[in-house]
Parts: sequence; C-alpha cells; structure tokens
Amino acid sequence: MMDLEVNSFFKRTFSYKLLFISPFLKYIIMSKKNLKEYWNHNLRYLGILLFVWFISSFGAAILFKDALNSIKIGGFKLGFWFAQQGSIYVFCILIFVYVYLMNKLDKAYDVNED
Amino acid sequence: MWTYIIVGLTFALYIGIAIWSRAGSTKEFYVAGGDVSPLANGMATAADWMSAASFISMAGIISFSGYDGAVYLMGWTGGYVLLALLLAPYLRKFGKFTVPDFIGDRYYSNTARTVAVICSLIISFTYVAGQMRGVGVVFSRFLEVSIELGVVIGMIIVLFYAVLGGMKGITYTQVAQFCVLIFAYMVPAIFISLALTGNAIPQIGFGGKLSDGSGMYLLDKLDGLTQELGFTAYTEGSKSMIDVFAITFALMVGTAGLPHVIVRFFTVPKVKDARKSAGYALLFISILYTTAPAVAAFARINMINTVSNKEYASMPEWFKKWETTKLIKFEDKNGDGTIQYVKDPATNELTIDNDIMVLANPEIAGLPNWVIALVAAGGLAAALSTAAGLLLVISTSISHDLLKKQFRPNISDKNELLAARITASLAVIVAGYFGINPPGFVAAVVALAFGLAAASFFPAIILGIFSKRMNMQGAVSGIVVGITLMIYYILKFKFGVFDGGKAAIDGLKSSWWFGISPEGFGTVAMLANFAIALLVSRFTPAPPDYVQQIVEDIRIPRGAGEPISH
Repeated sequence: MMDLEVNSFFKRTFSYKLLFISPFLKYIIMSKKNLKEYWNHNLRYLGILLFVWFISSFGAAILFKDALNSIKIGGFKLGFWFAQQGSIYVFCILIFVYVYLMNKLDKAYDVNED
Repeated sequence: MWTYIIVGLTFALYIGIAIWSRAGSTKEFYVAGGDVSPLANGMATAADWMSAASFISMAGIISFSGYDGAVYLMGWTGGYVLLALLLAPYLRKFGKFTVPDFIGDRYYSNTARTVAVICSLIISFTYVAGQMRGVGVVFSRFLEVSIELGVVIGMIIVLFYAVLGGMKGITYTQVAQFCVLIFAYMVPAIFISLALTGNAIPQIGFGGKLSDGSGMYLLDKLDGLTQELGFTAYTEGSKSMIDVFAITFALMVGTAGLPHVIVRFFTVPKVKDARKSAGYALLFISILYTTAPAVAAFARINMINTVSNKEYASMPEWFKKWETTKLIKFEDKNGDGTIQYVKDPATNELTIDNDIMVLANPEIAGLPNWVIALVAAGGLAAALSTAAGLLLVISTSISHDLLKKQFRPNISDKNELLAARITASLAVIVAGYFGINPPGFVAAVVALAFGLAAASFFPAIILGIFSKRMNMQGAVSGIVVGITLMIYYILKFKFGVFDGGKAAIDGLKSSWWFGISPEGFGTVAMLANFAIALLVSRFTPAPPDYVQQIVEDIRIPRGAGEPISH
C-alpha cells in the first residue's frame, strides 16, 4: 500500500518527468529562438549568393556589358565572355559554395540529417 | 550503316536498364524509391533538361544571333541556382511526390491542386510534342526512315522504360542517355576546335587565334566577316537591353518552375543531397552549355568561309546533301553562279536552317562516319530523355494528383500504380500523335510553357516556402492573374489573334509592353503574380496553424523522411 502511494507521489513530481524527457532535453532547449537564428543565417547566405548570381549574369553580361567589352582577355571581350561562358562558371561555383556553407550551418545549429 | 549500329546499341542499353529497374510500388514509380545518389540524379537531371532543342537547335540559334544567344545560355543554366538555393531542399523536406501535391497541401485547397494540375499538363504536353517531333526528325535525317515511323519507334522505346520502370526506369536510362549525348556533343566539337584554332578544348579555342596563318582571334575575324556581310557584329546583338534582360530572367525563373525539373529533386534520400544534386546537374549541363557557344562560333565561321562569294557549282558534298532536305536553300537572284550570303533580304540568296549547324558540323569538318552516327544517337538520347521526364509528369498528374488525391482517395497502392502505367501509355500515344502532326507553332508554344511556369508555379512555390503568411486566396489569385496575362500576351503578340492573325505580328512589335517580347513577358507576368498574391493575402485570413507549422518544418533539414504520399 505504502509503495503505491509513494509511487503515485513520485509520478507527479517534476523529477520523475525529467527522467523521461532528459533524452529530449537537447531538442527542447533547441528552442524556437535557435531555429529562427538558423533561418536568418540561411537567408543571409541566400542574399549574398543571389547577389553574386545577379551581378555575374544580369550585371556583367547585360547591364554593364558595353563597359566590360572594352576589356579583352585573349580573343574574348569581357562582357561577351560573361554572357556566353563566364556566368555559367559562376553559377556552378555558386551552387557548390552554397552546398558547403549549408552543410556547415546545418551542423552548427544541429539540424543536420546525419 | 554505322548509324544503325550505334543507335541500335544505345537503344538496347536503354531497354536493358528498363528491365533491370522495374517499378514495384508507387514510390518507385513516382520518385524512384527516393534513394537515387546525388551524382546519378545530377546526370539524370542534366539529360532530362537537355532536350532535342538544347542538343540540336541551340548552337544553331546562337550561331545566327551571336551575343543575343546568351539569353538561352544564361537563361537555361541560371535557373539551376534558383532551384538549388530556393526550391529543391525545401520541397524535398516537404516529402511529397509532385508539384501539385505541394501546391494543394501548402495552400490547403483542392482548387489550387487542380489549377496546378492543369498548368502542369499544359506545360508538359506542349513541351513533349516538340520532343517527339525532334525524335522523328533525327530518325528521318540519319536513318532514312519517314518522320512518322521515327516517331513511332521513339514512342515504343519510351513506352517501354517509362511504363515499366516509372521514375526509377527513367532516371537510370537518363544516366545512360546523358553519357551518350555528352560524348556525342563533345567529339565533333573537340575535333573542330583543334582544326580551327589548334586547341582541343572548345571553351579555350573559342577565345583563341585562328590557325589559318592570319594570326587573328577567331571572334575578331567573325565580327569582321559578319559586319562585312551586313549582319550585326557577332559579339554585339540586335535585341534591346531590356528585352535581353526580360527573356533571360523569364527563362531562368521558368526553368525553376518547370514541374518535370522540380520533380527530379524528390528522388534523392536527403535534403543535403537535393542541394548537391542541383550542383551536379548544373555541372553536367554546363559541359554542353559552355561548349555550345564555341560550336556556334566555329560553325558560323566555317559556313561563311565555305559559301560566301564562292561558286555554287563548287560546293562540297554535304551542301548538296542538306539541300535535298530543304534545310539549305539557294536562289541565284542575280544569276552570277556565286553565292551571296548577306543580311539584306532583297539580295540574300542563301537560307540556312538553324538545325544544320550541329547536324552538319561533323560533315563540314570532314569527320568520319561513326562520329556522324554518334551525333544521331546523341540527338535521340537528348529527345527521348526529356520526353520521358515530361510523360511521367503527365501521368502522375492524373493518377496521383487527380485520382488518388481527389476522386478516389481510397485507391490501393497497387491500383494506383496500374492507373499510373495506363495514363503513361496513353500520354505516350497522344504525344506521339502530336509528334506526327505537330501544331505549326511548337516553338512558340514552348516559349509559352516557360512563361507559364514563370508566371504560375515559381511565385506560388517561392511564397509558399518563404512566407508563412501567404494563404490560399493570395496564391490562387496570383496564379490566375499570372496565367491570364501570359496567355493573353502570347495570343496577341505571338499569334496575332486579336489583330488578324500571323500577318499582323511584325506590325505589333512597336506596341510590346515595355518593349518586351512574348518570350520575355514571363518576367512581367511573374511580377504581377507576386504583386497580386501579396496584396490579396493582406486582406484575407492567414493560413491555419498546421500549415504555418509545415512551413516552419520544411525549413529544417533534419527529419527528412522517405517521400510520403498520404
């Protein structure tokens, strides 16, 4: 009889509940605030990368093409080169930079998948 | 003879892979089981993306437009950055099977789902008609069968691996098709680069000096030649800056909104794989896309050197051969027996179809027959891989987004799989029909496909991921406005429907809105979609809490499970 009473008393205490949730404490503490920070950090990366995306294609190859064309590298006028080759190289590099940055970020905020 | 052997071998390969990768469940049929490696997925995406147009026509178009061709080069690659950064990882975490799935669930509405299905179907059908036509054309040029028979053969091959293996079969055949097409594209390019500039790497030879003793840079020589003949200099363009901007933007954003491209990112195991896979896809695509402008320049200079002011009677064999296919036309307007190839339409005597520049390039360069056979196999690989991807979207739209999600929610997995197979077969037949009887306006309609994707899907998906506040009313109104504007603009300025038909088109150019062509209008329609969506959502209730929770959830990579449908 006594054991039952002690048991039910124990069950209602905070420390008993703590026993069950302790494996999950990590996630509870990883609060909404942290996830918000993670997302903001993500957005910041996107901003920078998309800026480079814009500048190397719409900037260099279209808006500033005439100015850049006065520079020649080998047989290439620079504006023309960005339009037909260079922007594509930049795009490739951008995606892999993004992959690298995001893998690091995911680990730092403990949201990575493995 | 070589052509039959090489093409036959590639077909045997595709069929072998199809048998090996039979789909046994809807998960395998829709998303290849969800465990395709990023590298393989990148190759498959690249093959899926590079259609008959990329392989055959693009270099030709660039060849004739010079700098302006950059709209396609940048437009069809830049979109992958948008996909990788803004779409793929989040859609993969979302974990469903199709784009209408995302639209329907995110905007908690079967109306939205159905609108998405209709857009998907329009985009995919128009695109696939062009591919089947491309298959027929390659068959007729290289294998001496009629276009109709060529289309039918293509249909049977696609039917086999698409219906048998679904997304699984398609993905792995696409990997093989990528290898074939990239090899087929590069071999002639390398040979010609070597011959013209002494450099085996086309990207470098492009900026190199001609090895004909003149010591001039290839591009300078080309600029000079084109200007002499009355064309705009090759490295300048003739489109207005705002149009170049708008077209490039519309193509990039349209790329990121095409359902058959997006769905490729549902097949990898994890969110980080989705990002990496987009990187690999672009890497593989870039191999062709950085070679194409080089091929274009080489072909143009070769063509001018070969024909301009030369005697018609002394034209080489390839010239006569392609004349019989009507892709080259010569009209001796001044009766002097020599070919005047100039810009001025009154005195110009030579009309050249874009497609020649890639198809005839190996012959122009005097390459052996097996290389020419390789180009045929490559063109077929490109067309078939894209066709398959599109057919799968069509079939899943019907069997999954309409049947399973709306009309028959209790359908068993086995029966859904059967329905998917049946619709895939029917879609192949309809596509084949359009391949044999193409509407005369296939190219115009593909431009519409991109514009539609830019005006409808792209804003809806972006807002769905990056804004918790975007609700059903906003998204649907945005989509409707975007699509309506797009269709109106194309009907008016591409088909002249409101002004008396095709004849009126040239005259209408001065009334283009903002000076933007129909190909570039997708940018404007997209902006309208964003504006309306944001406006309408301000005045209507926020999405339910569980939806907002979904949006928060897809922003976190951890917990990306197997793709689930129900």
